[in-house]
Amino acid sequence: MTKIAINNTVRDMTAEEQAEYDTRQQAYIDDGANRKLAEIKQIRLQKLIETDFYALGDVTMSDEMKTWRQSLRDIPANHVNEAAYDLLLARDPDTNELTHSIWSKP
Amino acid sequence: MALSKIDLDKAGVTGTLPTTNLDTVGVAQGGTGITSGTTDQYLKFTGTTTLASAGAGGLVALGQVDSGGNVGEINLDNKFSATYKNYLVIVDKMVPATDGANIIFRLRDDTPSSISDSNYDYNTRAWRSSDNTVYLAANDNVSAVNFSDGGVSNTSSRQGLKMALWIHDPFDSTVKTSGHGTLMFVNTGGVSLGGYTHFYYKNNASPRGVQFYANTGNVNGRIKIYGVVDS
Repeated sequence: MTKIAINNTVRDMTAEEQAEYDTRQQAYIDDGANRKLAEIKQIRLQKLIETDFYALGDVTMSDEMKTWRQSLRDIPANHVNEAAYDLLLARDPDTNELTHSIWSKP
Repeated sequence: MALSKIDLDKAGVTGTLPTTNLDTVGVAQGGTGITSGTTDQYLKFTGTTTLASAGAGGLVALGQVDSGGNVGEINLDNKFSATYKNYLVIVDKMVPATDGANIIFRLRDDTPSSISDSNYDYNTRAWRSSDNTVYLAANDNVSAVNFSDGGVSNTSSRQGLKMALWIHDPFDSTVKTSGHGTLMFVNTGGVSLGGYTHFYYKNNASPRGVQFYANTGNVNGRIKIYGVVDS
């Protein structure tokens, strides 16, 4: 039985509390792909924000930059399953940097 | 001859002093000089001893919870009342058992049960110290609030999520309950993040407490709650 802490008292969960806890754990497992896609979109947003200034009128955006930004926008269409999401989210264990080539700014 | 003064030490007097009227004995004689008071007043010395209440704008500790280990949920129940309009929740630590889990928040009602209808709006933003990357979590009409999108380290020495959360008007069911605060945590890669958050519970209700848990696995946490004394 899982424990619960209430007002400085720790006790076993009631059957009802345990059922809600178990439902939450299963929902987390079931939502794995969506959670990863959300994280990917968050990283993508940051990359796009960092290069938005190239779209200003007094700055020229190179074709390479245009292609790269479009490839970021196309991620959900071109990467459609959890295995693909795992590749996009892979990080270097030493530097914690993302390793997939799609994140490399031209 | 009448005695005007008796030296008790030299007279070797023994026995028990009568306790009647001791509360009227002054401080210099070993008493308080105070005969009555009201709940939550404290002694204050200003040349003479008086009773005083918490000053305007002060914080009154209402309770705390320390799980002392991994648990499924951490709740502070029945802390909101008509006594205070504003509250401060201090999260000393909130360490998920699962590395990279997010810390989730909900209000509690007077049952007490978790308020989990889809009436929470929130926005949490935290910036990484290493590269200023912003992690954000924002949602409307959801059943809980996410304070730590991006995942919290489960290394105990990092203490998980820490935050100061102000909550406004929870008890008054004629107005909406809202809150905002600042927070920091260390992610699974050991990078620290700091940011801010707000939540808005857009149903008229009278929440009485708060709940923290991880979106997966258990948490080990310690929370304290204070009421803000109106001036």
